[in-house]
Amino acid sequence: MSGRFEIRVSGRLSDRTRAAFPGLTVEEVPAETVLSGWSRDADEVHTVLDRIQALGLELVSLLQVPEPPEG
Amino acid sequence: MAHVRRSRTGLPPLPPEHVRRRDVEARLARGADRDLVLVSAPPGFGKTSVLASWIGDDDAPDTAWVTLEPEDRDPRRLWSAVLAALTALPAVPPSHRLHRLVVSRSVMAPEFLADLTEALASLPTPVRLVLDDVQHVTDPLSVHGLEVLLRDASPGLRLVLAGRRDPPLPLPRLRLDERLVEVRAEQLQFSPAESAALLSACGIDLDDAQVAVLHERTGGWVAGLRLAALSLREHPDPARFLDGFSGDERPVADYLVDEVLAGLSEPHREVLRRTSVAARVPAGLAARLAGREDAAELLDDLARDTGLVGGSGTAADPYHLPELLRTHLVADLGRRGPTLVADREAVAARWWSEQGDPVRALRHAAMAGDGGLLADLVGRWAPWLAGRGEHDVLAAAIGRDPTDPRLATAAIHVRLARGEPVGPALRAARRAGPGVDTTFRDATERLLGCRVPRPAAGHPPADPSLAAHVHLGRGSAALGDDDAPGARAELEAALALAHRHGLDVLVQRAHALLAVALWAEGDVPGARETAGRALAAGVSTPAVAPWTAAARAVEAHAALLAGDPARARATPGDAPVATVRFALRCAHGGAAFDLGHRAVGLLELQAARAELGGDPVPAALTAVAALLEHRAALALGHRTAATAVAAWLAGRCPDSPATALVRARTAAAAGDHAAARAALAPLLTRRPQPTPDALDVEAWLLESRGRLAREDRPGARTAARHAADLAAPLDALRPFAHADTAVRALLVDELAAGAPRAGFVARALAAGATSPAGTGLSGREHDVLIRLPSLESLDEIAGALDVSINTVKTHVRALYGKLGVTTRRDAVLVAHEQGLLG
Repeated sequence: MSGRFEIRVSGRLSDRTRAAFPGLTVEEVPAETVLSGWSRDADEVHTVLDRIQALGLELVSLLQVPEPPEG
Repeated sequence: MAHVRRSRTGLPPLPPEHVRRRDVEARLARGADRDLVLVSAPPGFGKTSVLASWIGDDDAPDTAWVTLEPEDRDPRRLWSAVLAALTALPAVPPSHRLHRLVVSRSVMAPEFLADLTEALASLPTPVRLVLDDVQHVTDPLSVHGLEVLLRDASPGLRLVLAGRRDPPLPLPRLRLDERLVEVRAEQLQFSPAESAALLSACGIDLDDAQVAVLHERTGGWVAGLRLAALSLREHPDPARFLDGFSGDERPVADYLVDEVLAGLSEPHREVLRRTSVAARVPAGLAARLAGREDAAELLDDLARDTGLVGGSGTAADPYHLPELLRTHLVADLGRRGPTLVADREAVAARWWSEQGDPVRALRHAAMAGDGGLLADLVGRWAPWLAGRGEHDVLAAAIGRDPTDPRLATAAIHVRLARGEPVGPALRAARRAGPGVDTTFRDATERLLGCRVPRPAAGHPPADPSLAAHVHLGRGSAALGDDDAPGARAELEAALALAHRHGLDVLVQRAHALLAVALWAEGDVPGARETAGRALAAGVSTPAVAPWTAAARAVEAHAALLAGDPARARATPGDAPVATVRFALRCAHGGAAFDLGHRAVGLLELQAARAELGGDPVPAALTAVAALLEHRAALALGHRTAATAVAAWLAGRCPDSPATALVRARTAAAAGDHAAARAALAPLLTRRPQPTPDALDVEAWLLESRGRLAREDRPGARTAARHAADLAAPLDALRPFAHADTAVRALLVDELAAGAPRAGFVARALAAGATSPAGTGLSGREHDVLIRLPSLESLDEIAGALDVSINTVKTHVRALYGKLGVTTRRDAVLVAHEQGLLG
């Protein structure tokens, strides 16, 4: 599935942990961090989710916005 | 592939400060007799420890434990490890069929899973199989394997799966059927009391309120608690640490990793950062990655002083870090410079290549994103990887639609192994610029039947894998040039190298092509056996591969010659190469004819020739095809059709023995025995040569018929015997099935017990069996019938059966009536043709 995705993890990420997500936009909101970007397929989102797990971060939510049809 | 590291298949050791989780273990114990125990939680929740503690207690003798790794996405690697762990169990008797199972090195056969399941289901006592880190099982075949085990291996097997995600199994159904016990993060979280016990076991002295703060902040997440303990152990002011921790907005892991790293000296931190790109780091790789000779010493310090680093740095026990820490370290390395991670990956790739481990080398090279390095490594290792069947590793390294000629050549092999079209990869491979070594590409093109302008001869390369490909390519090219002896020499060389170096994919290809060479040289039994090896289960490759289809064509023609047309008819007829398709269609047509569908057979043979058009085919195949079609046309009385195929043969192979035989057949069919004799003369005076059509056998059978026509019975008998002697080593029964009835009747005399040719002649006469179950004989009639081929008189037969001579005569009359014959000789012949004897 291609399109924009937005992942929220709890807490404010250190510079080191932000560096684990090159290519994603990292924004801080109160008590959470929002990682957002574009994916070509579901595998790319899974790669990000795996990395979040591997870093020991706590996933709050995942939002996927399918690409609007061309035209 | 067969070698499975010991540390993968044993119960993992418990951490020194292990806290026993009685509640969780009790929950697991409730699942002891259920089909599936599932432990599913994110990293750091202590999945492995709790399982190891539960199992280590009392059940270890019947528990096989396999710790999975990313490489286990390759089903061969996964199931080899599973099999190794299972067969090591004391609960599996040494004689049990489980010990006879083998995972093929080249291709994972789906039958293996069925065999494994059946074997497990038949175990005398149940065993338990633990797959830890089951998230690495991603291949559809392996996932299917888990489903099959779960469905069919019970009650012999109980499965325990632990991983970061739920495996793709029908969990709701299993839950409903109460065949499942689940342990998840909420059960794995430490209780406040367990958190206190862990901290105390780690030697951390805190008051209840302080423990409560830690427990609250980590949420009972054991990895967090351990990291906190690590920081607190050396911390000058625990109260300040706890204040900082509870007031910080960073995620637990983030904060704690910072704290742990802050407690280390910069050289130690730097070594950890630079080695973090590899999950398992032997000492030699550590030195290379860190760029300092004392890297191993620094890692040993950390192992001894902090317990952060595991392993001793040997090849069997490399250094390793908790995955959580390693992931943070990689991120930290990336933060310090945009190319630092990629550079370390490239260093690791080169080091593993030097160690002769291309699988790891290519994975690191792909992570490095260095196209040149990747192409170098693929160029160096593709012959070995393709020969070993490591196509997934190659595919992952190559990516989609590569343009580099070395990558494109490797892509051809990936596509061949997967039965996909190779066109685009072939075109990309041909765009090699000057200075690129084209040895592997040339070998690959020759294997595919492409003409390569460069000379094929010369010394093969020193690398044995590449040399095996080169010999295979040359063998294939020699077959294309109709040089069967030359092909055989090259293919035997390829086979020897492939065997010695475990290149199972090349062994299969060499067998398939060698079968073709042997067949073309007339060694039909050898060809049949060799083709059988190429087609044996366990070495299956995509059926559409040209060499596999060629081996099937050899089997089909060998079956036809051996008087087994049903088998030839059943061979699948699809083939990607025109020559092989032609061979298969000819075998089908000949088989249809032999099975009694004569007109259908002739039409198919004619159609095969029409489809071939002007394409060249080897002389041996031309002769076989022409003789099959000519036989069918003559038998059906289609003179025009017979003339047409005779002309086609004469045009392609003028002055060949097959042309002479066709002339002799035509003359004999027209009753012109003088002309037939003249045509046969050159065939009978030369030294007989084995051919895939057993042409000499037929020539001598025709000679026998000619001599009968000239009333030279002794000469006819000698000729028929000669035909049998030529045919026996080739197992060539078909010419006898189509021989003239008078010649077949003559051969009945050879059936007498003890006669030198009796065994073969009996089979030769039965090969034309027309109605196997057509005649109903009484038991006594059959007793008499089986004695008729002997030289015994009816008196002697009566004596042997302990009945009167008149009884025997009655049986013989009844027999003759049922067989529609009037003489003892014809009775034996017809009995053979109907499959009543033999």
